Amino acid sequence: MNRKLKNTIEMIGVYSVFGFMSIMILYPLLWALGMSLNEGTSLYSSSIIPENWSLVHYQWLFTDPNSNYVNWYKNSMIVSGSNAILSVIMTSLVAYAFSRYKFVGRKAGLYTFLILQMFPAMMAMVALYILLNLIGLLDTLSGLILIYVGGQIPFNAWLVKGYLDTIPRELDESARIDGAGHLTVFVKIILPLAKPILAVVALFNFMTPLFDFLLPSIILHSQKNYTIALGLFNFINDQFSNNFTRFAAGAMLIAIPVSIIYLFLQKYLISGLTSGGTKG
Amino acid sequence: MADDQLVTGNINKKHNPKLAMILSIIFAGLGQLYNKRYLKGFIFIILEIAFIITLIDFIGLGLWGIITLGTIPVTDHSIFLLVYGLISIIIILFAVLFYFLNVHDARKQAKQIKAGWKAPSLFDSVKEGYDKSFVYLLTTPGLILLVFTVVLPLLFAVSLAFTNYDLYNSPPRNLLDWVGFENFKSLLTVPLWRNTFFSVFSWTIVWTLVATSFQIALGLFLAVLANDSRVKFKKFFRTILILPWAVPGFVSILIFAAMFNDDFGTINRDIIIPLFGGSGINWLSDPFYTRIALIFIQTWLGYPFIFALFSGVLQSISKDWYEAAEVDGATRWQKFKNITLPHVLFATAPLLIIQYTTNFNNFNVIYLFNEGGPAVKGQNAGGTDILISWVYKLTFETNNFSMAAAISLIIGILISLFAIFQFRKTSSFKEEGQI
Amino acid sequence: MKKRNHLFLMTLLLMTALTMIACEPDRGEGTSGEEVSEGEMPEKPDELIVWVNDEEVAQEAAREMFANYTDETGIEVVMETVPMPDQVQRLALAGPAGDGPDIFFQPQDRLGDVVAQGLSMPITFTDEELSQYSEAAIDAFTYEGEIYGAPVAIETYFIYYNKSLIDEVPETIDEVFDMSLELTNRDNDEYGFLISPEFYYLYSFINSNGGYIFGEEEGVYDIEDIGLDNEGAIQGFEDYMQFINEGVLPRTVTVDVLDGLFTEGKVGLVVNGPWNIPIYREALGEDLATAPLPKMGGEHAPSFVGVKSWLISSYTENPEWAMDLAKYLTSDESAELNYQISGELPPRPDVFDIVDDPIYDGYTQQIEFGTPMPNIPEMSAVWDMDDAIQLIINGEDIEEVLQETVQNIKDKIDLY
Repeated sequence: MNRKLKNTIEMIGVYSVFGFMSIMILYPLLWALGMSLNEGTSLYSSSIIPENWSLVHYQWLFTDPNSNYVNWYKNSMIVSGSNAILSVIMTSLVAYAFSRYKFVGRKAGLYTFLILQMFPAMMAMVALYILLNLIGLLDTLSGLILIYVGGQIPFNAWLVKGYLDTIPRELDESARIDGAGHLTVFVKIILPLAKPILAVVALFNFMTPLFDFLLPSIILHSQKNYTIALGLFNFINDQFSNNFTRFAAGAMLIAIPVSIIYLFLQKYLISGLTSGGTKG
Repeated sequence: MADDQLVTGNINKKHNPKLAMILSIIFAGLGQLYNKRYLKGFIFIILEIAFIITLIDFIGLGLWGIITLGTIPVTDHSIFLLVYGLISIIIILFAVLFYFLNVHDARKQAKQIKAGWKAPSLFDSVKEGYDKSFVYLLTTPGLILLVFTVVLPLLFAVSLAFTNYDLYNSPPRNLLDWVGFENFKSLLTVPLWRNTFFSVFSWTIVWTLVATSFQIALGLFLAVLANDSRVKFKKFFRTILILPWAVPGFVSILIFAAMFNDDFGTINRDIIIPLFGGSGINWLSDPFYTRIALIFIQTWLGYPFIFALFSGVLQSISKDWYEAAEVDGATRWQKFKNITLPHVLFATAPLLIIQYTTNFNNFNVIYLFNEGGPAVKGQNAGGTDILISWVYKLTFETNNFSMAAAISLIIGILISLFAIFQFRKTSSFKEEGQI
Repeated sequence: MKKRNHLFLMTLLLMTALTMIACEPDRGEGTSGEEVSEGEMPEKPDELIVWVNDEEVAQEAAREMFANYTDETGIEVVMETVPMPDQVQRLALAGPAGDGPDIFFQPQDRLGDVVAQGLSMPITFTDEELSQYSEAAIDAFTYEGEIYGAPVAIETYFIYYNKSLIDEVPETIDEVFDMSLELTNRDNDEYGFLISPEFYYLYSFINSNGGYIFGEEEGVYDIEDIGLDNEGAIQGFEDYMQFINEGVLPRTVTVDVLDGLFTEGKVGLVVNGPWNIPIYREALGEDLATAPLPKMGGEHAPSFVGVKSWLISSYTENPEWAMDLAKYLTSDESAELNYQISGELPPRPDVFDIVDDPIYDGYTQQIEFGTPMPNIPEMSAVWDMDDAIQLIINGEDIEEVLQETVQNIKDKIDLY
């Protein structure tokens, strides 16, 4: 009885923490949603619930001839999707090598990955511009994807390597004794066990380009090639007249698919590794 | 490997490793041809010819460019030449590596042939090569991409610190010159820099430690709660908890900036004043409260990453550990301290360090929220400016790019040292975890 | 030992090889192109690329003008939208990369920057062409004796007021103050007078009392002589602080708040620029009217006047046609079209006269009292005054803050 009561109290505690967090999280988001439904252009209306409900900003995004929103959306999906897929492949290969193999430059490589993330990138963009210009990929989505895929390696290789280190070596060693080749071990043993972390990597790399406006602003210059973040940022980049409400509407329309993708990938995060896997 | 021993029959004394080596120094692949490895030899020859034909002009231009940084203003653009030069150097290093391997390969194989080793069939040699080089196959594509998209820009930024790139000496109208350590020297003498450095630096440290620690603590706390087997609707709560991450950071920051406005923001109007009365808190004009708001915002923005990361790791911890601990009568705190925490930190320690260093350079949140403001009397940086945002402002206002590059370089070296130091500690920790 | 020798030899070989290939590129003689004799245009290019500001009306106006130009000359005009603040930085890269425009668009306060980096070439005007632009606009785009821009629009800020709240617009700043006391009701967000606490707008207070940015003699700015901490500047801030101290002007007004409250009909008068005419008019309709800034210190208060121009990129391959297009885009015909679509006033006296919409009264009158914003690059350090304003609003001593800020500005200019 006592134990049950304790249990209940604990659960109440846990749920109230979640409740409190939900308010903290949803309040600004709902506020932004309210803004996006507000008729005017200003962020400041008298209350969180707009007086004049209107879908005018959403309508503008999709129907106005000056709006490239649909195009931006498509571009962002292309960039984010490709980046997620390519990054998972590239990163898992590199991380696997660093986690399981001994080779020349392994230790130095690990340190280098770490250090590469430490330097502020303020002046670095210029070099990327010139590089892409040299190989003719300026103002293209492929050029942008290439840089994202390369740039994510140091961070995500760390992430995946850390995870792979927790997968017992006995698993791949025993498979190897059974005659499995390098690639077989990687594809059949390691990858399935690493699904949760790979899901995280895919998610990261889907979202980075979706939210980044700095790099695209250097590389893309035709409006039809803009990604969504860059397009949105330009709504409010003007010194004198900002269009916050339209910006909020456009932002809402990215937040929704990302939440859905998270829901979808959560399945892997939650059920990917059951207790069986690590027991070996 | 096993094949080597089987075929030691024909010792070929005439075969000369030195000759093979010299041949392949003269032209890649010749040594391999001499060793009668025709396919390999031809591939190498073709590669070298292709290299010479396609890249030699570019490399010539690049090397000339990086040495001189151009000789005719307007026609030569120092920045472009600098980047070309760096690319050339990278390509040369790759080529040298390849050449070295080529010579090494020719010599080794010639030695083996001399000792009587017989070439295996094409299939076998491919298989053997695959075995030996599998790990390089894994890493090479990533490495090449990394070198061009991350290392090259970094080298560029570092090089700029040694040039005289400022407003009145901007390409294409003017040419840049190499000036050695001039910029670093003048850093010590510029009063703007000296006066404000320490107050900005100390806030940068406080910001980094406090904001990041909050982020990690909250993420861990929520991940542990959400991982409790008794919690229902896990999926629902996890989705909500991750939401801040589903909104672009710059959008959230700008929304917060509007919400925190002293006179018109919803936080003062709808929360602080109704609950506590008074005229609200000066979120944007009092440095102390701006800092509080920034730490709150960064925690809000940053914990979902930690939460997601820890959630993944928590699920990989075997239940056996906990069951064993329960048999021993461990309390929940003991289980957390002795099982959960070490596991989680073991898997993620380097990433946590990176969280700290990222916040050290977290320009976006500082700049978009209040542009580093509010202004503080007696210094030319705002009350919430961290090093990187301050440098950005100085660069933007004074167009002194070389100086900015020099300061960025110093910042980068400082945090790298910190990170390596911390990282060493965690790798010793790692050994314990691997029992 | 032997191995070392080999390595050494190889390195040496490599170095010699590298120094041999490191060579200056071949430069074709006379790349400057064939000389074209006076008055004769070179062959027409197929297309010209123009960077247009990322603004709906600007694009709309540009689209029509470009189509007209194509009709007239057969040259295709390609519009690329690049936000005005990003254009300089982007041109510095895109130009040499062969990816830049023939013509771009900038305000005069960036001109110094543009010229220092060698991004733009001077435009040659005939005397007759020059006489059709207002002198102030041409002056704004004259740098080191050369004219760099074909001026498109001249703008400044002025007073908008809501006729349902104010019958007659106050003439002096003291009357504004009295009116504010009367109209302000903070609990309902009602205010008499709102002005954004930025140096750009508050310069009116400073300048009308004798403060100035750089000393000026015959169009040349003296960057050693900064007049932002003199008595006039202090007096100006004291006048402004009256509003804050009395609680009739909130301390943290942003442009966004100001627009929001004014369009909700809660503010008597605001100071803002012409870019808001369409938004305000839609919200307030007949109640909207404009006026020049109130008198401060007995005179009409000056305001910053900005001029925006088309500039020719130094990287254009068709400078003559680029100039032709720039002139076409600022001709009477185009200027009128631009005014009708964007509502911006063109700096051409002939077109100025046809403006009869009463909503422009404040705008046209205020321009005459305006003072040009310096077009030298040192201007970017002066925006430190925004910080000074914040400190003063927070109650710091005016004189002390101004002296310190001016010192900071001087230090920054020394870094150039």
